[in-house]
Amino acid sequence: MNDSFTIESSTGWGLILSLGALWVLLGWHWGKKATSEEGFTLAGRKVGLALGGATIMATWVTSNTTMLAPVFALKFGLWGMLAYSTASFGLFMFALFMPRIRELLPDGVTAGDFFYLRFGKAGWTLFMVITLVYSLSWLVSMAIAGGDLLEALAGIPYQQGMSLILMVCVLYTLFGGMYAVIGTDFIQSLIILLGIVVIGFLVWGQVPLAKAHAHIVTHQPSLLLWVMPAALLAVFNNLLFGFGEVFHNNVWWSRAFAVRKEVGSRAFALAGFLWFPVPIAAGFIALAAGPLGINIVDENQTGPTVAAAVLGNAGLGVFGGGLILVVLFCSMASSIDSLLAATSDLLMKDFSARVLKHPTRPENFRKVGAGVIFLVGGVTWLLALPHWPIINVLFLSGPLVGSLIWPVIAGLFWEEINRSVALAGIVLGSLAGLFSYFWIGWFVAALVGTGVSMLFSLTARYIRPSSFPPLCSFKT
Amino acid sequence: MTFVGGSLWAVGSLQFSNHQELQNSVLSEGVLTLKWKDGGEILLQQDRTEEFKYPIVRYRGKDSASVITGLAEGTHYFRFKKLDQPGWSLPLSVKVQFVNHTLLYSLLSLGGAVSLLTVGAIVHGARKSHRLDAVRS
Repeated sequence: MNDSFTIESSTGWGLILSLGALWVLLGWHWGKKATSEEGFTLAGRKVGLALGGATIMATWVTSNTTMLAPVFALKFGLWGMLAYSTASFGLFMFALFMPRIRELLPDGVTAGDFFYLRFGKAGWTLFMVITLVYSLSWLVSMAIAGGDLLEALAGIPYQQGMSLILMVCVLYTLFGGMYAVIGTDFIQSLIILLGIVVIGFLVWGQVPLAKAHAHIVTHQPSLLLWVMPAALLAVFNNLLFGFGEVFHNNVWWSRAFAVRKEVGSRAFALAGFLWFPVPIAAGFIALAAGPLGINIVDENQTGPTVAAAVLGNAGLGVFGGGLILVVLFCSMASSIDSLLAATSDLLMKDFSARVLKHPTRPENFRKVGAGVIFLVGGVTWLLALPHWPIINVLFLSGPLVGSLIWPVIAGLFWEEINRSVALAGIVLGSLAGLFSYFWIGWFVAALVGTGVSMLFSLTARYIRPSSFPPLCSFKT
Repeated sequence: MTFVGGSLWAVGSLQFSNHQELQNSVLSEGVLTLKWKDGGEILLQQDRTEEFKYPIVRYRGKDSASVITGLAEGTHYFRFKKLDQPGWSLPLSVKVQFVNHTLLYSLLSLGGAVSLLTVGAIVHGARKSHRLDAVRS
């Protein structure tokens, strides 16, 4: 990164502490509405269209979107941008799930409720293993990205920056529960959209399209190829990875239960439309690197490097560095808080009731909820501290979450299934996907995992199927 | 500066810090990161010929690495020089070879089929569920 555009560490501390204090204050204020367990975990199931759409969109704009989408564009060109944007289709598809989810589980709280209801204890256990691997690796990778970002932009040592970002998110989630998460997500989504639009327009103004095209034709010809294998395969892989992430994870199910029944589908569809252009805009920023003569030293810092240079060229200097920091901090915070809340709910509700056989008493929801959020935050901090490449675990989880896609579809829309065969599909799909990850490449892992699980699910529909348990047997 | 042992000719030659790792490697995505030791301004060139008959400048400046993307299939050569010193580094050669087309089209067919069936199953399920709701209400 070009040092002349980074900000002073005191400015970095000041920005994060000021924003952090604002989020904590708002979290505490909004959290006063959480007078019951349902209020704390699901914001009273009364979230409307605007707040619902914004929280879903902001949660999906993670540090991976703002940091990895530019890497995809830099490495895979136009197909790379499109490949990343297909992750929004998961939200569109989930919008179609919404009426059925609320019909099946009118009092549902977590995604675990669905898996327990449809696939019994064995299915629920498989789901818990996969979702905890995925959620923790997502959470830890974002904490690591936050520490890296503060170090790169403001020179704040990694361990201090990572701890600061995580502490802020833990505090406001702990005070305000889902009310705080949704409220702050709304503000953060506006900041993210505004920041990306501003940076995108500045890039557009500085790079004439003809010049950009001529540069890419000469220096990066593969980025314009119609048939660039890794990029083409990444389109399907990312689409299915995104389906798997959204369909199974409690982050999305908790929002499905939190938004008002009549606006649920529209909230997810709205979020999908808002999210779709974000990776394209972030990717376009990366494609401008070559034409603008910006040298990328570390591919993982492509987005901030180009954005800092463009804002510097526009004469925004330190202000530009601050803007990048704020936008990226918001993109991380809006996902970390959601994951903290959703993973904690999963542990508080599912783990305590189904493993410890000791459900949380309604009068203790605050104490237990805060304790679990603190525990998840602490585990995340411990895993992020050594700066292991946890992001690789997240990429490896593609086939695992992909293998849950068809069981979710079956559980929602089918009348009967052979559970054992469907569950075998999850295990074998995960294994086949992991094998293809190493044998062929990352760009086919989720595809293979989904494909194998799909075959098993379709077989399970026709070979000795049995009806799903009646809905009245379900107790949250 | 990195010294390469072995012959008098090579003593004093510059080379990329990751020369050993990349030399003659086959890249399936057309992406590589070139690294060199810090120290002054450098000029980085790329060519399709080992003799650098038609070089293009990939970078000029003081950074110590450069991410190269979008390389076309075939062999590419890279070299750099420090602008305050004479002589070029040892040329680095890499080969870009994408996934073969048979495997590609097989995987694309699989991807298309799985994606279409998945979306189809969801849309069909949602419509059926909606129809049943309408009948019930």
